Amino acid sequence: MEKKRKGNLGICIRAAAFTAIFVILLILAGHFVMPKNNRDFGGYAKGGFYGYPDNVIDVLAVGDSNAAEGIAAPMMWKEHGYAAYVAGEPFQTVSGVYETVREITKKQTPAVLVLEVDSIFQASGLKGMEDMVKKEAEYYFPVFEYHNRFKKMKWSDLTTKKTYAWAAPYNGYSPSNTVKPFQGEKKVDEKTIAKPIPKSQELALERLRGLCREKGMQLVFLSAYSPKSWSYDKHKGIAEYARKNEIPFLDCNLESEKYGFSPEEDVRDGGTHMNTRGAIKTAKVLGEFLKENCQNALADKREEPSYEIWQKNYERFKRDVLIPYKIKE
Amino acid sequence: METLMEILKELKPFVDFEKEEHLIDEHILNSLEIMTLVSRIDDEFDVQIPLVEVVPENFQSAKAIHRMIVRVQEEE
Amino acid sequence: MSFHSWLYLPCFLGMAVLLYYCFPLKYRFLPLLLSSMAFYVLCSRKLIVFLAVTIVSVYAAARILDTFNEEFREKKKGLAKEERKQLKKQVERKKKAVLYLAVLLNFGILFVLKYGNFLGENINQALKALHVGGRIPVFQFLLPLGISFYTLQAAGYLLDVSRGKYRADKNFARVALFLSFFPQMVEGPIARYDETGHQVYEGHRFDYETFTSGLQLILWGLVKKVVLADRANMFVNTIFKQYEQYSGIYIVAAAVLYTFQIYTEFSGCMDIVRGSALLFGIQLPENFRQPFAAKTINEFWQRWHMTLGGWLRDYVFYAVSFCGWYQKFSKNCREKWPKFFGGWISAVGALFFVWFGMGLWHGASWKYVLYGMYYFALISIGMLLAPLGEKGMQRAGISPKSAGVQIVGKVRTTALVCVGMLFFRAESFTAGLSMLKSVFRDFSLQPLLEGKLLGLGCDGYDFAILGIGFVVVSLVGAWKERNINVREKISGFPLPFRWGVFYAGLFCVILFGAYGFGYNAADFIYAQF
Repeated sequence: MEKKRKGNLGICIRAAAFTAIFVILLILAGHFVMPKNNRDFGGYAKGGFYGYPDNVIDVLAVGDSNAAEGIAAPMMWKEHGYAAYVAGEPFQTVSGVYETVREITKKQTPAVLVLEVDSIFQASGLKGMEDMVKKEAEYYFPVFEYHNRFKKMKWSDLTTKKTYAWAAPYNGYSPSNTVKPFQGEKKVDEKTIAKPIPKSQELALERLRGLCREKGMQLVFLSAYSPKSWSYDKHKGIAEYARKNEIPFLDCNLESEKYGFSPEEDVRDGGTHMNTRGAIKTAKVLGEFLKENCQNALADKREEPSYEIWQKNYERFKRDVLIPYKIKE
Repeated sequence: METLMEILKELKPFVDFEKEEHLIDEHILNSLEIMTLVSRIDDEFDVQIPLVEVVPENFQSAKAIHRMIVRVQEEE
Repeated sequence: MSFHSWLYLPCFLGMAVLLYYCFPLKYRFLPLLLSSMAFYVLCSRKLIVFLAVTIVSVYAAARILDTFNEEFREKKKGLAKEERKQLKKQVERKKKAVLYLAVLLNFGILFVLKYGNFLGENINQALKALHVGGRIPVFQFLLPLGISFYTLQAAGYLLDVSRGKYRADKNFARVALFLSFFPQMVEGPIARYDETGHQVYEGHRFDYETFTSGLQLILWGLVKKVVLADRANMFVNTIFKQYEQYSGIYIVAAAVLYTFQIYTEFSGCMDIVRGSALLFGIQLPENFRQPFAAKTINEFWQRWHMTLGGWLRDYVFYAVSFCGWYQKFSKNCREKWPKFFGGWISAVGALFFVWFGMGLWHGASWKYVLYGMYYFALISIGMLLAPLGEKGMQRAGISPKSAGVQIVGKVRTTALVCVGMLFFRAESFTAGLSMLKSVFRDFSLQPLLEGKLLGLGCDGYDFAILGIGFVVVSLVGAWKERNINVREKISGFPLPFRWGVFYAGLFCVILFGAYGFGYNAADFIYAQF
């Protein structure tokens, strides 16, 4: 047994060496377990943006399932000529959104960032803090996120190169043709007290706004139609925050009648998520809202040759979704 | 000391209390037997062992138990 | 904040350790107290008030008890034996008043918060059964973090001071830190004041050996908790959640795996806790000593959750068996009944309080009370049959120390513990009973051979990892049982091997840990997603 008193310097060198090797191994392990094809990220069309040409996304919509299933982005191209992409992940938190945007803006230069606000209440308290640390660690060391893939690994994964060429169809949107009506009532009581935004999420929002400033993106809040999970106290909390920070806020729930959302026809699971009928309405309403609020930042790109992928995406959406679902545009 | 030895023999006939020095450490006496032992000591010596005295050191051997009894008797 | 979380290990603990060693030696208790308070507020917010009430009341009560003890020591000098006895009685009465008040206050808080709801519901049930109109209101309280642990520590300290085992502490900060030291706040261990009171307060110099052994202990705890316990949980959860659909070998597997899960989880957590404390140079008491090497149930409880067992022994068992009325009762027993039986009755009587308390401590429901009674019954019956067994073995010429007898003892004890754990985990006592019955209804090894246990939360990979983990944990346990310290052995390796072992452990946790998407209970609830 070594019981000699080691010098402080020796201890420091030893600790530094141990940590350095550890970090290198972490990075290597990350390469090993990361999916080699960007179809395999899972969680809606996660990683589907890698296959798009550089600098073609003008509107980036982010959030949880309400974003991924709530915005039929190809319709924004059809209606307004906006190149919009949806990057929603299940149970996504604002911390997760931050990391996703950070990754996407490496190759893209969106002018507008649309945050679906359901993600703001996905985590709170200690869980929210925990989530922030975890997401940060996952950003730098993907091994923490993808370690469970060890069950599917082959030895060849050690040498295979990554090919992230797949471009997610429908601009990242996940379509659905199911209808299961919402049976309940919308409660709007003016006496409702605003539900404060959880501290951890507020911190993540601050970071996200910093990123927006840095990348020159305009932040917009969207509350997609979700009669079951929406509540007036949450709306008030977010509206307050949006007003204070001058963020345009579109709530499709508060005035759902005005925008024509139907609890009978537009939801697929009893009121939490929309089907494609509803998501098309969101795309149209959001398009109008952006036209009004972000006029200077956005332009109709239908004539731009480098944006042809969006036209192709729309045509595919029409062929594979609109026509089989018998949805009139 | 003899009375104590009798009590101990009665409690655990197969243990050689003259020699054993680690009655507690080797789990020869458990808490139940200590409880019985203490009430037998009360019967025979008319001395009440206070709870503070119920620590492993005082029960490791017959000698230690006897020392404790004498000490408690003096203090009373 | 759970101890295996991103927030605790790298962030909270890291900062607390850094802060600790930044302070001068003499004042290192300050950052530790600060971290403990911060930990508490982060986890329980305003409920820190209850902890504060306990700290202040225990500090004050101990000081008062101490003055009574001193008074008696001063006054008794030069008094005759009779007078001394008289004086002692007087002082005892005063001490009792203070002690009861303080203990009642603290256990009262615990009782109202933890058991108020349970008690209220039972009273309402009784009222209903008796056809009495009206119900008493029942509240569901939020439980302050660690209240079951620190209340026991507090009571132990008070009782020890009252018994004169040591003097009351005049230093308020030391008492506060003893009761609120953050690594102990979630799952114990329940320490005694003379074990940790001074340790947590006095400043410790940074010691490389202690520090690294703390880190190693944390890593070992993480392996047990994240790789093994959380993985076993997926299978266990699947079976217990829909127990009506399973029987025979499925239930046996679930009970055994749950026993494995709770052992790796609890002992793993203890390793993280003790490792955390070691980073500050503080040694916390052990809570586990290879429980599955026990040959009897009694021995099992001397090796499992040892600090709780020790607390119950010293402050319930001895407190009951040494008090006046119980001494009278046991004397009566021994005089009226045959010697062996009388002794048995008096021992069992005191044990009842221990096991009742033990059951109730685990949670406010009849299931836990009956869980305690299960062990009470096993131990009582065991004591009654022990002489028969000894005689039987003697007659058959088998030595109680022979390997065969030892193995039979270990297997029997483990099996009985698994049954206990089945009830512990089951939804309710009746659910546990029906699960146990279903084991015998249609038992067959067929599903096991056909691989039907796969896919119920755990696939082949998961079972392989659990299998390897089981072997490793058993080996480490067997070595420890033979007094071989694995950690010391590893630190004797040449550096490349030593680091190899640590990296293997780290990446075992990172790669094979059952954490992240797909492993949270919530993910299963939303499986339709």
